[in-house]
Amino acid sequence: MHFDNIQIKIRERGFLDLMDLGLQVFRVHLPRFLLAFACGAVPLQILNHFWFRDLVVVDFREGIVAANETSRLIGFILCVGQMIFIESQLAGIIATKYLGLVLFQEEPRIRPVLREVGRAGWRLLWCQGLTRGVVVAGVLASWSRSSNWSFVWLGLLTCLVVLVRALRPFLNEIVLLENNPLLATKSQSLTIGRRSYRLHAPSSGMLLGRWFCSALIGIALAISVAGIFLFVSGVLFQQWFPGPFLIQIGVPLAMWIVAAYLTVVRFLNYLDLRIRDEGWEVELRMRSEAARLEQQMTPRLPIPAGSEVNELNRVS
Amino acid sequence: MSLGARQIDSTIDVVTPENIAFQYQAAGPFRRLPAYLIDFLIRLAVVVLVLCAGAFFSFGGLGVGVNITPVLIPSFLLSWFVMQWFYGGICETFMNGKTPGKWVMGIRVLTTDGRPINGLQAVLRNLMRFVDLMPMVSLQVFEPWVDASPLYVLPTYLLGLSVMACNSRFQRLGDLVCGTMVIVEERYWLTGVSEIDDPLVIKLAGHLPADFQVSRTLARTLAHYVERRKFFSTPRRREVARHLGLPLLRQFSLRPDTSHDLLLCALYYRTFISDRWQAEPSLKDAGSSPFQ
Repeated sequence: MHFDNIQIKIRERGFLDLMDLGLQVFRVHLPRFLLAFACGAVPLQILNHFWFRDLVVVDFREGIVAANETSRLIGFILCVGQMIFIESQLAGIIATKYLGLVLFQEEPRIRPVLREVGRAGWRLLWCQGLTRGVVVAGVLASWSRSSNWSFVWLGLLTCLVVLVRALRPFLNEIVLLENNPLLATKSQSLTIGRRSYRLHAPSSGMLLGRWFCSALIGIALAISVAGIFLFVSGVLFQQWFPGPFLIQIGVPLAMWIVAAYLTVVRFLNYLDLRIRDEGWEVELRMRSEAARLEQQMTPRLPIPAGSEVNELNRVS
Repeated sequence: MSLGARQIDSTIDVVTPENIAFQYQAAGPFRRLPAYLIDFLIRLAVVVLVLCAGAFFSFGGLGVGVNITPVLIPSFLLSWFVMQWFYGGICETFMNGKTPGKWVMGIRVLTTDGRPINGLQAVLRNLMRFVDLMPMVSLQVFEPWVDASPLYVLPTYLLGLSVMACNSRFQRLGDLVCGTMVIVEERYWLTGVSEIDDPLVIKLAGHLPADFQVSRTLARTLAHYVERRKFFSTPRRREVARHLGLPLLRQFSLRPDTSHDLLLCALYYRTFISDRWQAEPSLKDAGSSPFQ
């Protein structure tokens, strides 16, 4: 592996530059990246559709949503939005692994990526499924068919997840790319929890600010993408008011597209944080230079013990 | 990625007709967004000011109760028209490719060959903005008026965003038509040689083999490390330095417990500092200088 031969130019960037760079990365790897993201997102969206399809009464044959359903329509969009928000990190696990591999390699295939993600299965289930509220959200969503209270709980859960995700956004990257263990086998071993604290805690203010900016931009982008679907349905079918197809498929699709883009942005933010706080780009250079030196190395006679150099054994 | 292939980055190379090469950082849609919002607020403020001024003069000159519509509506429409279509063009023409928003955000419009834009380009690229706002959504999205004809007023900006994402200079349609691009005016700091005054480093530098040739890439890596190491914690410094420290220790046949960090600093010292001081007297002694 050539550590200095990376697909993305490694340097410190501002948040808006990272958003722009995300567009370029998204464009360059669009087909395979979307395939990788779809592998995670499609099963979750099928579940979402199953849970929330009765929230808004639609008539597909007539192609209309009942006019008195506007408030339920908004409720439906809010519920789907919250679920997609909670699930988006879990949906992005394959895409994150793909990005991690593509950074150093030429276009990895999806099957080996899936295999590598599978190896982290239990850790992901614990970290994303349980501690990030995906399983709880699923339980609440399935309960929503029988009780309206579940929506309140779902809202509260979303608030909690916002807080956790804003302060600890790079859990996928830690689990999948750094391969830290879930539990410590020795007292010194760097578990996911310790690594997460060490990575996020020194820059929590910056991370919080960046997260809220990206959330605002994400909401605006989702509205714009949904607007495109509305434009197409208006121009082609004279259906300007959101119809059943747009509500049940177009709106979630717009949200998932934005979630995919934000997965790229999050990955770039992770790299940027490692560059800023840990000098990751210096480490990469060091490794590649070390590999070059190893090739050229010639044996030399050792200096006898007790020489002057002995006193230099310290880290300044 | 194949060796030598271009990395994904927002930096672009521009070679002028005089064969002078520049590097610019292209400003993408999100970098341009705050500038656009600032300009939008300024445009809005000017229109509101014109409206207020119109209302003030109407009341003051003609007395309260007079119909002010004939003054207000034309002044509003005229100011809106001018600000909507010519604000950007005029500002970019007379402010060297900047609007107030761009000036605040440190970005600027240039031609694709790195020259300042002219008035025609400035006006045309701003007129084309209307196309970049497409597709527009009809107001009927809020009310299902079945019989009314659609009123396209809500911009989605996605045509401009998609076009910008599809080219490495982040040019929107207006930029492509006029051969312009928006760049970031950043001032880069060039750091000089880092100071190293630790006596242990200097002492260790004396033990490094004199015949060791530092390659260009190694010199660059050392410079990068020494420049950044002061921002690392001690354990992190140890972790980073270990990669290169281990093969260097073997190469120089130093004791294996020598500090990797000190070793890299010593090699840096020998490469960039001590060799330079040694080179200067030798030049002086050479007798070839015309200033002697």
